[in-house]
Amino acid sequence: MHLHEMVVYITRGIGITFKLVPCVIVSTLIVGMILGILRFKNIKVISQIIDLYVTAIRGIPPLVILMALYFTVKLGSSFMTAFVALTIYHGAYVTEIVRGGLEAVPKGQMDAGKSLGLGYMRIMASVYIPQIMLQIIPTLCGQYILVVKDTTLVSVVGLQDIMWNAKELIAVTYDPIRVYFIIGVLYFVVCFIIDLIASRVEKSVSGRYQAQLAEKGAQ
Amino acid sequence: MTSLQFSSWLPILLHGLRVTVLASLAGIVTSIIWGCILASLRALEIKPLSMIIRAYTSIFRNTPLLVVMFFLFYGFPMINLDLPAIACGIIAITLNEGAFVAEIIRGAIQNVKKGEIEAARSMGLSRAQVVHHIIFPLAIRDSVPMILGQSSIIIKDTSLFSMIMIIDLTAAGRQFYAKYFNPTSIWIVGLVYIALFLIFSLIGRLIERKVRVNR
Repeated sequence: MHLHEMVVYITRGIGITFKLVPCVIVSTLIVGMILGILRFKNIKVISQIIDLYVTAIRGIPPLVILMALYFTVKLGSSFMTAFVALTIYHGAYVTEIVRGGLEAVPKGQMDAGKSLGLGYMRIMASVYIPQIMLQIIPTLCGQYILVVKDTTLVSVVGLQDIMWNAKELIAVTYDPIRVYFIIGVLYFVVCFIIDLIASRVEKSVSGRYQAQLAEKGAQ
Repeated sequence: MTSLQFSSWLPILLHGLRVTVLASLAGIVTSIIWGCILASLRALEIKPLSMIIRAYTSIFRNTPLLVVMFFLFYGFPMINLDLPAIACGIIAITLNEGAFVAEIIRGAIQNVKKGEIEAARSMGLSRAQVVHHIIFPLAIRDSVPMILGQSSIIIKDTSLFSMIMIIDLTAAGRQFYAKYFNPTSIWIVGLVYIALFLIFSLIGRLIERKVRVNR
């Protein structure tokens, strides 16, 4: 089998990955924003529950979450199972990223917002979130690289993705080295692009931050 | 899950636990050593060497561990190298996580004060000596918390061993399910992983307290 035939065969499964990744990016951002904001509010019971969730996720491998969900709950389709499992897993990390970003905002802004008569949610939406959005992008990109890499695991829930096709192809060609090399290159390209975006944004953000510092120093 | 089923499964679970713990420890140690080597070599600031290491870290940070693991697991026999599966797994983890550890240490190296390096240089130490005696000891202390964080990820990485036919914790949970179609075992395995993580973070906190320097 020629190399380009292999590439064509393997990339048939790439659609799954390309559908899954944007879905998970959006859903984890939503979960992370909501939980991060709730956690930042510091209501005792809610904070404890969120902390429990984050700690548990930090301990469990994504593979185990995928399997647990797949074997326990019937979610309609394998895609749905993979989507929910990855959202649960990476949502915890995004929650921490959002919370970290919120905590870096000076406390005075909360007081200033309150003194203007704004509610908590309003302060979050129009003061905090716009500020941290740019700041957390590099860290978020790091997390999303992990999301992309974790899509290699979804064949355990029966999704016919790249790894699934690879297995089939190897059964025919007995050439695992070339097959996995191709897959490695494919994943590398996708992750590398995200990595580039991250470092681009990081540079502009840190540049802006330094400018702010310089301004403060001048005052 | 009946008690009879559980008691017949328990030995497998314990075996899996042992494999996961030992593999994690091995993986953590080798990844840290490999990361330290890479970071030190890069700190020597020899142009071509630095470029090679940069390419290496970029490649392995952006390639899924499972792909690397499969590549080695199915690739080694092709070049007539008969390694046990667990060795392939640990090598894959080392190659992959070593790149992350190297990046962590590199970040810490960038924070080493220029003055300290210049002072050492002016005392006649060679670049290699400066890296060995000044830069590396300072940087490694600063990177301990992040290396510990990465180590807890290595524990989770070992769950992929179940995909290359090793009976680890994850595989033990899966085996029970395959036999009785009862997912309780997977949840138990999940809890065991959390317990491992908590124990590891406790040890990590002790180490962190020990090496912390107040500047």
